[in-house]
Amino acid sequence: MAEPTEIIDRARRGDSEAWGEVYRRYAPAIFRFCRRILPTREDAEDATMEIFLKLRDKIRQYDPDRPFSAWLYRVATNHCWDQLRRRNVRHDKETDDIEGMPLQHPDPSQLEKMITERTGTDVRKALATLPARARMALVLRYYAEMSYEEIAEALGVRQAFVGVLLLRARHQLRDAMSAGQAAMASKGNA
Amino acid sequence: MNHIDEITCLLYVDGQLDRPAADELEAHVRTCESCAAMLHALKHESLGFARAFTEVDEELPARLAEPERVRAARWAWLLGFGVASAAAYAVWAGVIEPVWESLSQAGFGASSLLTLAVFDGALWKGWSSMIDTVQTAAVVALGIFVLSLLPLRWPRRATIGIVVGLLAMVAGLGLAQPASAAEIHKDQSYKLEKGQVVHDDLVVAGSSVEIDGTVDGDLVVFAQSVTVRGHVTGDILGFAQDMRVDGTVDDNIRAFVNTLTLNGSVGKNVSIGIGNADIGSDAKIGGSLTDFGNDMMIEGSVGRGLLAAGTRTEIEGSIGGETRVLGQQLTIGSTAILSGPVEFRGAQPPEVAAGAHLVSPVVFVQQRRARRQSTVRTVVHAILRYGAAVLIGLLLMTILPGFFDAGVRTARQWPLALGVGTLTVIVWIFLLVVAVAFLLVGVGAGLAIATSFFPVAYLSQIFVGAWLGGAIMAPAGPGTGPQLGRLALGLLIIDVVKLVPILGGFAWLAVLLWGTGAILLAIYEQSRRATVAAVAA
Repeated sequence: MAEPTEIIDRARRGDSEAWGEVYRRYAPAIFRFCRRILPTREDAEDATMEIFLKLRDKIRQYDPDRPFSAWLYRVATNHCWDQLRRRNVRHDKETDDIEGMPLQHPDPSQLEKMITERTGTDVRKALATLPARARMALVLRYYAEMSYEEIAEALGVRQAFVGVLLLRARHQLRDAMSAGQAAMASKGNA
Repeated sequence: MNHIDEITCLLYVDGQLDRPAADELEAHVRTCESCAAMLHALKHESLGFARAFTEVDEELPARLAEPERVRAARWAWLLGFGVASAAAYAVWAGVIEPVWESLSQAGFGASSLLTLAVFDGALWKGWSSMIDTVQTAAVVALGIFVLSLLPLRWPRRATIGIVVGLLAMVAGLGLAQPASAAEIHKDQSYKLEKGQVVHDDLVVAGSSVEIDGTVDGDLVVFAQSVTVRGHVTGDILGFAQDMRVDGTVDDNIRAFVNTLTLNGSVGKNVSIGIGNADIGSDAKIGGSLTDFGNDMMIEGSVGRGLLAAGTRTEIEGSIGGETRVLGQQLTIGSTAILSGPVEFRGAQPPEVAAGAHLVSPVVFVQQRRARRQSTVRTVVHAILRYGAAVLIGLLLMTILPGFFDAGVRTARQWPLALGVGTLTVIVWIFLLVVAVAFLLVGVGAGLAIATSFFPVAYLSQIFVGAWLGGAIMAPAGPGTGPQLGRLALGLLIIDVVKLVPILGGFAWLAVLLWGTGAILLAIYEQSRRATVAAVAA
């Protein structure tokens, strides 16, 4: 989506109508972003509201030479990550677990089959069951299209660790999708 | 042949490999089908995730539809503060000040009523003496309950700060006046024998209380029957079925009783909250007499003014200051001596016996005229009340939109809401009665319970009104406007129905119970939501 630079510029200069347009254009995407990261719909609603309040306060600080959506997701990420951290997400322990966890080399054909068969709803349901950090890493990469550098900065980890983090998260997501499929099958048999 | 591991493949797919490593991988993949398949699968998977994550599965919620609602939060707080200040001023200027002024004009002393009733009087001393473990526990429990609804959204340091502050406040209250702690008794019956002296404030609760001795301080009493034949050097603050004072009270009597019989002498003022009063021929009141009870007979003497707002008032004794009576009937007997001006507001003219001594004729204000005024006033007040309720509803939907939506949603489940509301009100009344009327230790807790319920009782109409408006009009759409329209319609219907005799009373009760239930269910839903969120995280 091409960025409405003129509208953003007007919003930066305090034009409330332009701000309204910015809001209408980006609020749905930010809401879905929060929805993927935060545990409940109500949390995502509250977070969307709070993020746009922050954005409105900070919009003068936005550097127009950089992509607006990247800045937007950066603010949203910080807000959501703060929310999760306030709820005592034990990320240090999680990091240890991830680093020590052995990974099985997947069968490419099985992988292709899984991603072809699963619907978007299946994937999102599985995503919701993941630990906060894994969920966050996947959403930053595949929803907000952040670079490894940006993800490292947002999550406070070394850039070299981001690949490992993403790979572990993908494995966790695959496991969760398989578990979801197995549960559906057993329900169907019953 | 060695295959390339998955992490390297992923880094390549994500463009994270440096050029030499990428070249090496590409060369390998040209000859290795398995690794080529892995690369393809990972790319496919990345695309699949991106597609699943970005899919538009949920529309933007209605309350987020417009940025105005986001922006509204700040001015809404300011507006809320302004409205609250205006309301406080209106209550002060419209209710408290005129009453205060008329009391002052009636010769009821120049000192501030607030100071008289709360800080100088027995009321305050009694309360401060009664802060004990149970009250402390009640305050702490209330504080913890309130905090339990909030802490998940608060920084931990702030929560700890608030808890510590609360505990310090409670400790401060409990330790405020250790030196003046009263003597406290809680028995079936209590008697202070003649000749016995209590050199302190005396707080007594029991079925029957008799004071024949001397209380060198204030007497605070909760009992079925109270008889004071002895001497109280301070005030009497009494909550009782029957109270009889034949002895001497140096300061004031403040009685919330069914029947007060006074034949003794009181140095300062007598105030009666409810019930009937008989001021006998031997009674002598140095200050003023104020009665908001039912029937009153005055045969004794009152040094200063009389202000009575009961049903029937009969005066056979003497009043030193101004007499102001509001009620159905005023009778001034032949032995009455009224040394100040007399004003009576009532349905029929006062009966004044021929031998009565009056410095000036009774100024009679017929209630029919007053009733006409009050009808206009009632309508104006009803309109103001309606406007205030709509405004508060607007504030609620702006400041706490989640809670507002939850309240309207739970109001929709009306049998459950009605059941919960009924149960709550019954429990609330029970707690209030137990705390205030029977248990000495619970006065503070009782007041806390009572005041905590008022906001809920008031807000009940807003949630029922919003539901009712929504049920009549089309389903709720996005934005404040449609919601406000529904609320305004619902509240209007409720207010109109309330005006219908008998039916209005039932409607009021139903709205109270229903709305209370909806509010509590919404609070439960919100707190549960926060707990679920915490567990999920």
